[in-house]
Amino acid sequence: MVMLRKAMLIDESRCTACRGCQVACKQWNDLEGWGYSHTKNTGSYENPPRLSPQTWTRIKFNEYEGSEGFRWLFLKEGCMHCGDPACVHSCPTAALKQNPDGRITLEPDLCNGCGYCTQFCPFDVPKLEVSSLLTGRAKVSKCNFCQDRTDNSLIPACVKTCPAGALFWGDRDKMIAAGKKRIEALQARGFRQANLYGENLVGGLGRLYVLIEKPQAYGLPAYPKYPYFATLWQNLVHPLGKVAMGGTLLGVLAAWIIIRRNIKMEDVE
Amino acid sequence: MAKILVVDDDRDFIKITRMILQSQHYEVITAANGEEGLEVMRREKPDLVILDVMMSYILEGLDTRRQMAADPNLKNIPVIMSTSLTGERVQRNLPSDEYVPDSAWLHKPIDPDKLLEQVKKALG
Amino acid sequence: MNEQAQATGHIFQIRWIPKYTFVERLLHWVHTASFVPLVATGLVLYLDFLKPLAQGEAGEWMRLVHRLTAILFVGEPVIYGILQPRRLWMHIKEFSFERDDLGWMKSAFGYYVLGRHTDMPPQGRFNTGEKINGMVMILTWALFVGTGLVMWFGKGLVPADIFRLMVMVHDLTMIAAVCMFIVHLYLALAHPLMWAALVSMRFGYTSASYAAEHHAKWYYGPKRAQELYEAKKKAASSKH
Repeated sequence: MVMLRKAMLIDESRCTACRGCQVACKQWNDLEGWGYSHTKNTGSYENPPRLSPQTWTRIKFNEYEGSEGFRWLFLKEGCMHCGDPACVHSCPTAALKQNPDGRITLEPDLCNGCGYCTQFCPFDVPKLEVSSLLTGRAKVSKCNFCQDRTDNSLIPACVKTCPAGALFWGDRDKMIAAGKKRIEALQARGFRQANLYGENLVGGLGRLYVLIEKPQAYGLPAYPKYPYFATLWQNLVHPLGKVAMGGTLLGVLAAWIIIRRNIKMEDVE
Repeated sequence: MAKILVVDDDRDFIKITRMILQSQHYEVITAANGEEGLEVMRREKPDLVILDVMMSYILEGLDTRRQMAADPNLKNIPVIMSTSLTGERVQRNLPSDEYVPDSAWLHKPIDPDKLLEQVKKALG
Repeated sequence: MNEQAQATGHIFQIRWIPKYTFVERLLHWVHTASFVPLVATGLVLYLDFLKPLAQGEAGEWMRLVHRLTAILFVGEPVIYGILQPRRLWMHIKEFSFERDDLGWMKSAFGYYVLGRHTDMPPQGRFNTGEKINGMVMILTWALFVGTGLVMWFGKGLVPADIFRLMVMVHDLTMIAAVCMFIVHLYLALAHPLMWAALVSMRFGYTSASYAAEHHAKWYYGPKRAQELYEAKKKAASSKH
């Protein structure tokens, strides 16, 4: 899998926050815009204010006070396509799938809106669109690395459109190599904190970042982990529960066979 | 007018029986279980006791009846047993053959006319 | 007893004893009728081989049935409390455990599996096993309703870490409730000693001989039941 794995490299040292990627993503994936979110100006350049079932990627403006004064650190948010995807493991309908090349995709027809995936993402990415709170009808929606494009050897829409040349798509090991090379160049230019984010986190992320400051400055968790609650639930509670219920059933069957030999109806009051 | 003690743990039965008896101007006192019933009997000396059989345990009324029979102060008070338990009069090889001194019997749900008839008969 | 009876005796022999009112029986069966579909529709998210039923449109139906039945499941004890509050409160009190219950636990295997009648100390209207069943059902009901309501009305609104705690507790409660249900079903339908239990839940009456043996404290009263039990034990041990 390591050889076949694809990844996106996001060079945040080049991003100008033009938001062309946001537009391209919505355009290609037929996602709704203002009609859906009705966003208002809240005093920030960020728009929309967060990821949603209709916003699969967005630029976050992290305000940063550095040695040279105020600066924005732009972060292109979206599904991290983890190597160890808790969302896929917790999905009870197999709507979320980990493809051989590492892309985490979702089949909307299979999704039943249970919301389990939203509970375990270390990056809080999948968002539920609840169309009715009463009936519980809902669907999850997130970045799938432009599945229909990448299935056909094309690059994701955001990568294609980026005018700053900050986005790259290709074999993961090549993306890591390119990222590391960029880090070296940045450090030579004085960006001491420059780092590559995602190489080994949560099984290795499919979305890699060249960051010029520490991850925390971007609002990224420094050491995201596969949630132990998910492990507890999927690997302990679920199997033990099945054993308990199956065991009780077998136990009762055994009891029936044994007891009807020990206790005869004629002797019962 | 005659004083009647109704011993029953069912508050609805007490309410209805009290209504029926008071309509005929009987004085009504009540108790909710066998022990309380015996206490009230010794204190108030009613002219008649209407005694439920099944209270906090199935045979409670029968035990109370037997204790009344064993107590010289109480054994002459007339008793009407009331019960929703279905019973048999013929002795067969059945589970419980409990004996109680001769009493009149009322089957629940009670018929008000039958109740008043039995009360009149018991009071002589 | 015999002379007194022969002198002025009125023989009182009981065949059927009323045990459960109409409301109680109705609500027991409503509870059953709502529990089974709830488990079935819930298990599609739990058992892998049922996955096709959880996906897409089928999943929609599963969820709708689960929610509609849940309304019944939640409402049933509430309606019981409205129609017969005294009896509901009496039931909850009857399910409380006492020192006597230890005796049942010690003798349960010998009694239910090996059929040793003399070992079992006298039981009340609910024997200890039935009390355990009642407590488990009350507890799991409360947990199901609490977690279920959050999962229903808090979907997409409640923070992720609370939602997943609700799901985990809902799952654990389900495991406990299903195991209890399997045992309950066996005892109600297939255990020879418990034959009158199903009759009483369907028709409301239990047999007097059954009650005298299985619920002696309720039949004879605690004092006499204990005397009879000790006499029986003495007789049994003197034979050895």
